[in-house]
Amino acid sequence: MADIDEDLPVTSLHAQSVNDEDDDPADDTPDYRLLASLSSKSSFPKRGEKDFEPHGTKHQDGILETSRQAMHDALSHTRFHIPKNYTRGFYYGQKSMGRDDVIPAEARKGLEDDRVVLLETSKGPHWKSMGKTNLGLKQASLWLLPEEALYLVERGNLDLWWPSRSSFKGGFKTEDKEAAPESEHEDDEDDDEGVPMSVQAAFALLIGDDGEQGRVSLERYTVYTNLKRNGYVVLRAPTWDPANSGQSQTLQPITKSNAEFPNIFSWLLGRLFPKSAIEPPPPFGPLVRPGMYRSYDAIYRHVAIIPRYKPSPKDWSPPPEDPYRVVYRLWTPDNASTFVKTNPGEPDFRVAITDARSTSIPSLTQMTALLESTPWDPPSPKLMGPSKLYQRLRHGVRSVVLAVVDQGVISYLRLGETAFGEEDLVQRFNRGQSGGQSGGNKRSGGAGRGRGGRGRGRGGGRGRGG
Amino acid sequence: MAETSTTPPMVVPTMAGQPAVEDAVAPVRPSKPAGPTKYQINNQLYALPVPLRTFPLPTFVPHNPLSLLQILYTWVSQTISPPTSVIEPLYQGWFSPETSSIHVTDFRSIRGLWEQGFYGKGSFSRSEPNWLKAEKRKRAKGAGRTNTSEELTLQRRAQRQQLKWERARVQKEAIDRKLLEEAAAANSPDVAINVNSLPLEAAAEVLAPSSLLALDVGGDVPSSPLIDFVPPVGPLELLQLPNSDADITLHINGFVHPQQSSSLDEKYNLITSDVSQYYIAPVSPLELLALPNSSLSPEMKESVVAERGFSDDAVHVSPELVGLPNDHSIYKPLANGKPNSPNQNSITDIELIEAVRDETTKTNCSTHLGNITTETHINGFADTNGHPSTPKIKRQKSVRFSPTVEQTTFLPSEPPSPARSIDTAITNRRSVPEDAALEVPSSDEVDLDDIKDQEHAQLTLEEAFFLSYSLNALTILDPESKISISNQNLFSMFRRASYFPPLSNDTNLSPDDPFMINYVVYHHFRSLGWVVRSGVKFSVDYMLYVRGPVFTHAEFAVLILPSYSDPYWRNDKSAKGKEKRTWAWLSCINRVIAQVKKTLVLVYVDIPKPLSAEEELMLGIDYILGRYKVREIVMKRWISNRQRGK
Repeated sequence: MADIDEDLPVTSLHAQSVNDEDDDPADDTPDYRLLASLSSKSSFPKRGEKDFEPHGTKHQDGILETSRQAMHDALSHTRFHIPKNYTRGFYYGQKSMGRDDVIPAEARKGLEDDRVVLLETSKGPHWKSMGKTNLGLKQASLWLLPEEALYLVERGNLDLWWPSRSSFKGGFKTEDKEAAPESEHEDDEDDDEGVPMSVQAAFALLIGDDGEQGRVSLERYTVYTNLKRNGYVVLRAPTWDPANSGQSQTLQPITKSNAEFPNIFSWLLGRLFPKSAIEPPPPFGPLVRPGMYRSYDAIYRHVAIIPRYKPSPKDWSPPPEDPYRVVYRLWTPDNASTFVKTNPGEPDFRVAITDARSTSIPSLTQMTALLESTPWDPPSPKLMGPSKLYQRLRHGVRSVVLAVVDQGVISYLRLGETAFGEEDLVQRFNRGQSGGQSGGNKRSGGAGRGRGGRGRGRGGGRGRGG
Repeated sequence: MAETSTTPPMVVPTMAGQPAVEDAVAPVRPSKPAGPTKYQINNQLYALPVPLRTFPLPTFVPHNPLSLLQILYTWVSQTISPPTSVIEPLYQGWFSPETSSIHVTDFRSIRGLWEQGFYGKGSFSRSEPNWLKAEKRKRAKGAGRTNTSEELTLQRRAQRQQLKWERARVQKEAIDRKLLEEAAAANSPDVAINVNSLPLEAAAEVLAPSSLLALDVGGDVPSSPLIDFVPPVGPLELLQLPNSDADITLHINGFVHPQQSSSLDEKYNLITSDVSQYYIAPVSPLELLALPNSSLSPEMKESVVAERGFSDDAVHVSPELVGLPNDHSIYKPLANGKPNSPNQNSITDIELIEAVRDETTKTNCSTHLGNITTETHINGFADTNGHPSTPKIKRQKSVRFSPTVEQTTFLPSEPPSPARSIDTAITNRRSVPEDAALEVPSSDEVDLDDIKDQEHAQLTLEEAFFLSYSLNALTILDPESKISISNQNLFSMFRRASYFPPLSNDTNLSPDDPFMINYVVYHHFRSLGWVVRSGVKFSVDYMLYVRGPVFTHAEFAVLILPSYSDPYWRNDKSAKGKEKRTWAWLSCINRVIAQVKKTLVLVYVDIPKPLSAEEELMLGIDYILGRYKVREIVMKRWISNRQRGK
């Protein structure tokens, strides 16, 4: 029910409480009253506010009753195929009626092995972001992946059939061609179109293990449908199948950055007073030897002995291993309107999927491999400057969305590769000696995160710190 | 902070080359000439990010050639006799093997370590060691402003509590208003429906048997006599009285407001008569009286029955009787005071109620448990009537062990008051001096300056080692020999002490000692300029502050995850086990961190292969630390509904 948006209390006795940023609307029980508007299809239903205990007003009882009624109405709503939008698909995934046996090679040119559902027509809005057309130039036909087909069957947009030998007619019917051959077929084959398939059968045939041809695992299907219902455009990533991810990746050790801070001040200082190269410290310290230091920069340079990770666009770890591998690419609903299947462009997000029960959290190797399989995406120039420190670090240089699926419940996490070593806080100390302006303005960048008292770096806003 | 600024151990402005903070800040905000702001004070007090001084050259001002001379002069003088950056004498701490921490006991070290990089924690304080300050203020009566962070937190909590109560009150009022509206709306067309309708339903059920009693005592008298008892005001007006919906509850609770008693009677009559239509009443008077409602002693029962049986005007009497509180004491005036009066009328009824009210009040005052008795009766009453579920009307709980009636009984319509909350009680208790063991003499007797500072600061092993090994700003003394411990010894001592129980001297140290892993992360972030403090209160290992907890909230919460990716560990089964963490565990921490509006940073520490003791000795600590790799991954919940617009 995550497709129900939040905000806007429908009816409630008391004013809505402050909307908490971390309140996930998907976590709440749905307000069934909102479903009532679904049948009218006018707009997306809004989420209501829930009361926590009965307080004996008829008003409240009325709301409850309306809710119950709405739920019953929604559940008893009859769903049917509208003849105009009726779409039939044939399932070519079984051994006896395998796609590669039945369909001629030129009609399945350019298709992945997993595309096992053939569509009869290509009318309707879904095919803008789903399905793939074969490359056979003469007769085009649209083929679906198992998750796409199952999603549409579940939604009631697709009627899935078991095909017969004669079901494949070589592509979509066209108006002029239809007349002659169609009549012949009817005479010859006794109109053997195949057998309609139930939703249960569709699930049984299309859900399986990852790597099985023509099937999708339940975890991936769960995530796929959840994202689709939220309006995303979801496509499989090239690394879907580890066997097919033929990217040549080279191993390169993590580069050490020997803390050198190139800036005008230190450069000038270096020219004026040439500093000796940092001597190795005595084996048991201290790292900062007694003496005179002109800047904190110099002090901290001595302390920097733990190698810092320096991210670079060229880093390539070994290819990601299961399950920490990008399997879906996402385009947000806002970008969906301009989405073109044949030329999707760069996705907005990349999703990896893992099972919460059978896997533990990724090790460093798995984590770096997963992140480095995503493209280099450093913070935009808008995020430069000392006041945007937090946003910059939160953004990172690469990111991936990890969907942790626990028996159908999905928890999405955004993982970002970041490098604290790239941020130079020490320079602020030198500036801070005279300016001292940095402290109070830290929070100003955190737009929209307002919560009473948080922004008061200047005042006594010390209460919550550990 | 004004107090502490007068007694800092380091006199910041007198330092050579150290520009005065006010000079730089003042032009920015000229509108505030009066005194430095709190921020400026903090800025000055916490000017040093590490317990080391720096000696920057004076800035060169191009249009002022003299500044060049000044630079030259400073440079020459510093070259000839270089000052030292080390703050001397070094701060001192004592190793405490029992607590696996370093105790800092002298005031100068405590303040110095806190102000120059936020090291340590006061043993009596939440973080900043300010027990003495708080204690002084506490004893100096009439000191207005609270300043320590603990006090501020208490204050804020009280405010928040007040706010919550206010909100609850508004909600309660809204509900009550709604109830009234609905009752009024339902009441206006037909009185009978009113009783049957929702809010009053429960009360009506509870009262039903009593009405049976009323009717039955009257024998086969039809309900018309009841209607004869004409209320002076219409039901609508009655219900719109401020406390009208509470009346029923009042009846049940056995507490009658003087000004309400008359209206109660009338209203009660109405209800009783209405309810009676929905209940069959063919029960004998004795049986009825045996119901828990009448918790009379047998002889009382008899007298009442006798009285009623002979009464000509029983119907008039009974509603009031039933409406009376179900208390033992209440029936006493009935049974004893007016045992045989055959002709009762409405005038005596009112007297009766008056008498009963007095009696009730007395009872409640004399015995603390008076209310409990009442409450129990009502519950039993409801149960045995075939309504096992508790009445739907929410009654204010009156079981409070308080001697006064006023405080023990609430009207349901009354807004809740913060003064009676349990939380407030806790808060009040907390504001009692923390150090209860201390015999606190009153301020009249003791001069404030004589208070001995009983607080010490404690440093974690990581903090202490960083101060000693990296910054050379702290000497750590052995509690037995009273001589300082070398870094080399500290290194192995802390690694052993990080286990519980501490490792003996002959066991081998491993590269994934808790101290090693923590220290690598601590050193990493400290060396980057972050102020690192413990994150145990936030379910993580460390919190990262940009300049310190005084200036900003921590934005990042560091969770350390050891990683065994080195080929050496490939065949080590236990190493793989140490890497394992469940998703539920991580999710739990992530939720906590999200709740406090911070960002979780997973810090992977790549553990190198072990070195032998000889190798470690030879290679030195900086080499050993340099073998660890640290990687940061930020983690945040991704909410699909919110990312739509990206």
